[in-house]
Amino acid sequence: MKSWMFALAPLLMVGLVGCGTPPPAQVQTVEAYLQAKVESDLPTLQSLICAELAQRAVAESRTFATVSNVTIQNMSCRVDEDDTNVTCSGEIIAQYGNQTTPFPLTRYRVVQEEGVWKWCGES
Amino acid sequence: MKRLALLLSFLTILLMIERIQAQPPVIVTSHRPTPLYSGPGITYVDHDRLNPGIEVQLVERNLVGNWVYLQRLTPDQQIAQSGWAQSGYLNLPLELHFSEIPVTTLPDADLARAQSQTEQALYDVPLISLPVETVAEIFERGQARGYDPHTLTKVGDSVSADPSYLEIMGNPEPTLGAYDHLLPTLDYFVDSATRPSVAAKIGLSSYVVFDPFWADKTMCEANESPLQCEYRLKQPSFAFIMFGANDVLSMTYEEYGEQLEQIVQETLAHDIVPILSTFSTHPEHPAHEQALAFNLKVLEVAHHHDLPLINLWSATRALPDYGLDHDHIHMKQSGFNYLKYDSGHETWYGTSLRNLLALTMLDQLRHQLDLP
Repeated sequence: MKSWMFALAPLLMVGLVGCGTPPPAQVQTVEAYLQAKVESDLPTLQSLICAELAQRAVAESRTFATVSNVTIQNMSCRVDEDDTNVTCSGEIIAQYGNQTTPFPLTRYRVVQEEGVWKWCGES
Repeated sequence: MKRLALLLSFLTILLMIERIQAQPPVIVTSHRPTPLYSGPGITYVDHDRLNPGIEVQLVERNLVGNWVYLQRLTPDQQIAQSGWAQSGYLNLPLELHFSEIPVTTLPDADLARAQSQTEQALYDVPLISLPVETVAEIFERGQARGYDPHTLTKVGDSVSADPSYLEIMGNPEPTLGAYDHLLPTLDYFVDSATRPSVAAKIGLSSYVVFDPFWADKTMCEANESPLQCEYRLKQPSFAFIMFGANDVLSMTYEEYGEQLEQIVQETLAHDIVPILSTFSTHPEHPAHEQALAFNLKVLEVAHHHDLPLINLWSATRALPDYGLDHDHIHMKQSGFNYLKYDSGHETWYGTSLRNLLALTMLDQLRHQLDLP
């Protein structure tokens, strides 16, 4: 019985470590960006947007200014093989009056600036 | 030879006068007590009432046709009663064609009687403004790009996204009544009018019309804004542009001006004729004052670029609740899913009036640009 448990332990350890593995930095950037967009969090958006689109940050923070109850649902992102694109599934849901408007998530470009991955529009 | 030509001209003029005089007067009655004004709009003096059933002669109309000048004559041809009324109060005979009724030279509003300087400025612009030379230049550039002259689109929020605005023109059996002169124009633009626009969407503002996030991913390319996407997809010759309902709640006056300017510049950069419009507001709306200021900005941008403009704000002042629904944002609808102008809807429902103004603008464009 004991030996059986000892044999299983490494597998459990691997599983636990796997659960704690943070997603790739590109994915973290995109997910944080989308979350900040939903929350109209301008400072975070400014810190995550690439230099090329920096002037769009304010507009980005106002994407959902005319709608309410904005939430992200079932967001799942992965880095594409080329390392510079992140494809996300799921959607942002917003309400306007009684109507629900879905914004499907899509594929986003990321660029590395001074060693940090930045969101750089759709791709 | 010169004398003969002169004589012929004289005879022709005589014949024309005779024909005009020979035309029987158009007799109408009202179906409810009808206020009579001294001019074609509610800023003019409301000086009399026309009782239902009383026969009066329809003498003149405004450019749109939603206001008409009426006269009641005594047997010895003296004017017993006269004034301007909204067409929707009247029983119009089936044989009436507004195309045969002279258009007045009176302005759409009496500025001296506006309630404030802001209102005065807003009333100072006609219901339909069409600077022909500028429009012709933009239109020609669009034609050189290969745009279809029949193609129009709409850009705006839910007030414009509503299928009962423009798209309804394609529904079967439109009933234009006395406005039947607009039928060739309706036929000319109907195919494009019926197509929804990716740049007219619920919740859209003059800010997010530039935001690719709001673009329909099934039709638009990556990083393409709804506005760019719509212009690429349709390549329209004309774009009806109206924002305000959402903007007043989320933007400052300066921001609204900047965004509207940007929309106009983007439209002009595509060589598309922008047709701006003021928007209706209700005094009980929490942002009413802001809305008036935004409308002034619309006039300013249109004036600055010498663009065609529909003064929907001014036109809707005469309608119940200013043509708006209970929410004081969206336009009230008649409930009919086709164009219906044989029973005065343009006097009662905001959407009916807005479509009539759009059709009138298109009709003016078609004639001024010599479109077949």
